[in-house]
Amino acid sequence: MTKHTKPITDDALNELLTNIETPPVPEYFSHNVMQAIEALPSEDIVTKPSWWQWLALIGGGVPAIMQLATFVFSAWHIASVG
Amino acid sequence: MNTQQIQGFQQGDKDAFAALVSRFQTPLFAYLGRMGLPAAMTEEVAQETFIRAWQSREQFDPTRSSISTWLFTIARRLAINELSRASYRYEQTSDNNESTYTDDTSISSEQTLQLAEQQKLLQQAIQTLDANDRSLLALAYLKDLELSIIAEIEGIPVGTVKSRLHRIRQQLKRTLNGDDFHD
Repeated sequence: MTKHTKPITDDALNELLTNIETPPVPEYFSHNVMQAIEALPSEDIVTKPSWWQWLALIGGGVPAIMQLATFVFSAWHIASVG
Repeated sequence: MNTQQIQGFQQGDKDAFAALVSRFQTPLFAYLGRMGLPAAMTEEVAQETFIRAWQSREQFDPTRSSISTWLFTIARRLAINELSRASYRYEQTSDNNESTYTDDTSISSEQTLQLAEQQKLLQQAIQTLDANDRSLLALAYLKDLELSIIAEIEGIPVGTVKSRLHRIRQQLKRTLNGDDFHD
């Protein structure tokens, strides 16, 4: 880093910071963003499950658990009776 | 952006989203560029910011923050991650440290050279700052951003914004005056 010949003042620093150069937005930028959005798989959007999805889960899940419990109990009963 | 457009964006309206990109692309580029990110990285982070915004649009709560605050918060997190991941602090890249962005013919060539040299030194000084400090400084010199908004984006109190900005300016002054370097 080279040293300034004159010490920089608060005002000069403020002016430099105000006028700092930034990269321009490329013309194709918004087009690229929209293309990237179009290319996103729809699964990326996380949506809350609705009531009927919960109902279906419970309606299917409870009988499945009951069936598994019945099978385990039957197996245990047969084994214990001999 | 009006309330209808924001609602449209939240409901997945791509036209409303395009309007959002169009409205905020310039301030985001200015913010990221002021942080000292190279041009290519600025573009990448800005694009990722909009993609993340689209993906998490349902999480945006207009009662808690404005859309601009929300976008800058996303951009800030992504930019700081990028700066932490790569060693940009002391790296000099040709695309953001040279004065290639403007073509102001209203000032003399001597003034242009002097200004360009000062800008180059300032860019180098900014590169030595911590990523969080770079973000705060960039936000502070963006147009139309109040201190309370900056505090919200940075997640710190307004008083801390002021004190940190003072410290950053002093650090930059020391660096530009050569006090921090022994050539």
